[in-house]
Amino acid sequence: MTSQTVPFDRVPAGRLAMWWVIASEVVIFGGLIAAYLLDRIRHPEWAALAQHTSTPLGALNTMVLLSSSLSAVLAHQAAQRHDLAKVTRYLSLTILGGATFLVVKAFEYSNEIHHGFTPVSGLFWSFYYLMTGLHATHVVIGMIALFIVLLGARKGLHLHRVEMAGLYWHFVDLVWIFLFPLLYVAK
Amino acid sequence: MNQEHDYHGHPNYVLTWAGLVALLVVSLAAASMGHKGLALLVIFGIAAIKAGMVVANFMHLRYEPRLMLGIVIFGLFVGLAFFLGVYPDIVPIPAVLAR
Repeated sequence: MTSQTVPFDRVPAGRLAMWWVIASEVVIFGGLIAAYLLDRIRHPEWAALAQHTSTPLGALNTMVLLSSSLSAVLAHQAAQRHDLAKVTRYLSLTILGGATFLVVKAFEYSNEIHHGFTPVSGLFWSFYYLMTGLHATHVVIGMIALFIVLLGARKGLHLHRVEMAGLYWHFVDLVWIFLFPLLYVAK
Repeated sequence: MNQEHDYHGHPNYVLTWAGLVALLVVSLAAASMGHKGLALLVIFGIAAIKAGMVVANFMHLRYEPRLMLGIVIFGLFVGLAFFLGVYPDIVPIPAVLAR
């Protein structure tokens, strides 16, 4: 870390506020993941239930979110250079990534419900729908935030907000980095 | 853009993304390992590394004051405290250890 070179009072208020939001979100998702882990340890038979989640679709969505995080950070870099065309392009790509994620997730939900795995099919499925549903809600909120930022940024307004919305988007990606192995890979 | 926002640098984002994708492939390959315990260790170890890469490079936490890192660690600590505090009530402790 090179942090010792930057005094704390140089951190912009907006960025600090966003990190507070992220820290509180860490508590929300951390508590949920901790509760899932506790029950997963208690119920080894959940490994068989996890066989019904689609690893290829989960991996595809991981790729989509990682790529949208890349476009979000490239939008932030373009905003610092005041390159409005690139800011618009990268923010649009990020929103498109979020939409793609939701379409794939909807397809997954549809397939799982079609096979009889609903939120009331057992504790594993309750956790699955709660965790992925809460995450998907965050994706939607992130997309709305990015869209609002995009409307201003394409005219060169409030460019510092590109970074704030991006920070939130990276957090959404971060949560998925843990949900994917928990629900799709560890079987 | 205000100058005060510009104190952090820009690491190679495309390289970071390529590393994240490579780690995703490794974690998928690890899932088919014969030893389940080792596979889980590798899978979640890789998830932690990926999270570190996103936080350090995409979220630029490596350039922020240490107190910012402390804010995030506090959130993680609360989650861990919850896990450890509730663990004995949820997960049955083997009789041999409980004695």
